[in-house]
Amino acid sequence: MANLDQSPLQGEALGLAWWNTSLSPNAKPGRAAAPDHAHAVDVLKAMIASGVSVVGLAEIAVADVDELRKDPEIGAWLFTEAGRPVGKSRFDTCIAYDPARFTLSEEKEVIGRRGRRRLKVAQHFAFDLSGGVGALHVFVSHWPSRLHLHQAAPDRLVYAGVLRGAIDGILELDQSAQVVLMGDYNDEPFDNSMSYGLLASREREYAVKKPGLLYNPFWRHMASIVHGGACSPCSDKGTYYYAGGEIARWFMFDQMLFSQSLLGIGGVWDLDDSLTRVYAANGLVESVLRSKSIFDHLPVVAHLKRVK
Amino acid sequence: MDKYVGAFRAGIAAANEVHESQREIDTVLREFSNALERATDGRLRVAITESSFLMSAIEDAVIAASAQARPKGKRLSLAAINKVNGKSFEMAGWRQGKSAYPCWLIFRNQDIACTDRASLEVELARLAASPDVGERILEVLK
Repeated sequence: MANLDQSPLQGEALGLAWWNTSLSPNAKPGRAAAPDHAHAVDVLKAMIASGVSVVGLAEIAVADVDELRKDPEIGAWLFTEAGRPVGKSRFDTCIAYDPARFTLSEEKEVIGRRGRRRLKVAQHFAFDLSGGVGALHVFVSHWPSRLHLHQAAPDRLVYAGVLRGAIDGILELDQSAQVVLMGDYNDEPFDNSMSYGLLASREREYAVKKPGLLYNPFWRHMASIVHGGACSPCSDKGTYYYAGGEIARWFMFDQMLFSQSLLGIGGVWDLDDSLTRVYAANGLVESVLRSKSIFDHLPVVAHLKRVK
Repeated sequence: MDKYVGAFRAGIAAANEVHESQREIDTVLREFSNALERATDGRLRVAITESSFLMSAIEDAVIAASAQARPKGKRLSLAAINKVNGKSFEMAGWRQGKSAYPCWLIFRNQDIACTDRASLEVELARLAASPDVGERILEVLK
């Protein structure tokens, strides 16, 4: 077995991102026009240039993937099948990754059943990392909007409970499994589904100390003023903009959550909190604020640093 | 001490609810097994057995990834068993928590959490109707 303490890969970075692209919601497939695809390509290429190697995507269909992959740089990436059917509906999520860094070892669907209803809880992708140690489990989710499932609807806790059950299935086999959750949950970090349902803590130190807790670094990105500097970590306004919001217009619906083993204590990877941000470059904020634009979500990005 | 009476009653009610849910799941599985017996002239039955192989490449990867990986619980599966010669095959993975529901069926690259009787019945019917299971039933009947 290799001596991890002397790994030449120590210091290597691994960027992850999540973006609800808004290109093809299940209710409005194929609504994106050529300029929308061009904009999406610009955003993805900028994220790749910043070190991102895997991106979870939502509201995206096969035709959109085909358009995006016409760009040579994005065409060199691999995309999992978009729009996988589940009963009469389909997942509107997929994952894109750099094959130089990742090998996809398996994909599964996590489905909750309540009576005859199927809840599309998550897609589970297991990756082998080149030069990495152990599999990286990525759960990609797009939960129903609050228009279709009210903020207080009990099913929101069912979504969370089923996803937590799937994660427990992995952590029961290996408490040090490397697990990342990413998605547009249409709930904020403080909502019961995200905090109590998924057992996701705002406190990194506590998530390190208490087995089973996940760490949600996106608690800090719910401020109305973007601030940051040498003395304080950056915070952002949120990811989803709804001009008609009753008490706020920005919402932190898009998040990434991390298992204990990705927080640097005993594991190979350490989440760099200072780089866990809402991605607000490439004119995307302006697009999100423009009422006629199809884009209404900003991506989120996170970077792991190899410590062994 | 009245405050504890309410707490005890809540605990007992919760335990009763779990027992009731487990009885319900057992009933559904018994019906499922009876149906397989009828469909195979009494030759096959269904049982929850300890899984003899890893249910998926993902579990395989988890085990391979870590020397610390020590499965805490037994991996279970829903198996069809030939009552005459003992030959069997695993129709799906099976997982349950302490509170009976949800119970998980794992097949065809899906982890399905059934949160009530109706959903369990629907998923078992889907499992029974899958051509893969039909194929394996024919093999075990030989």
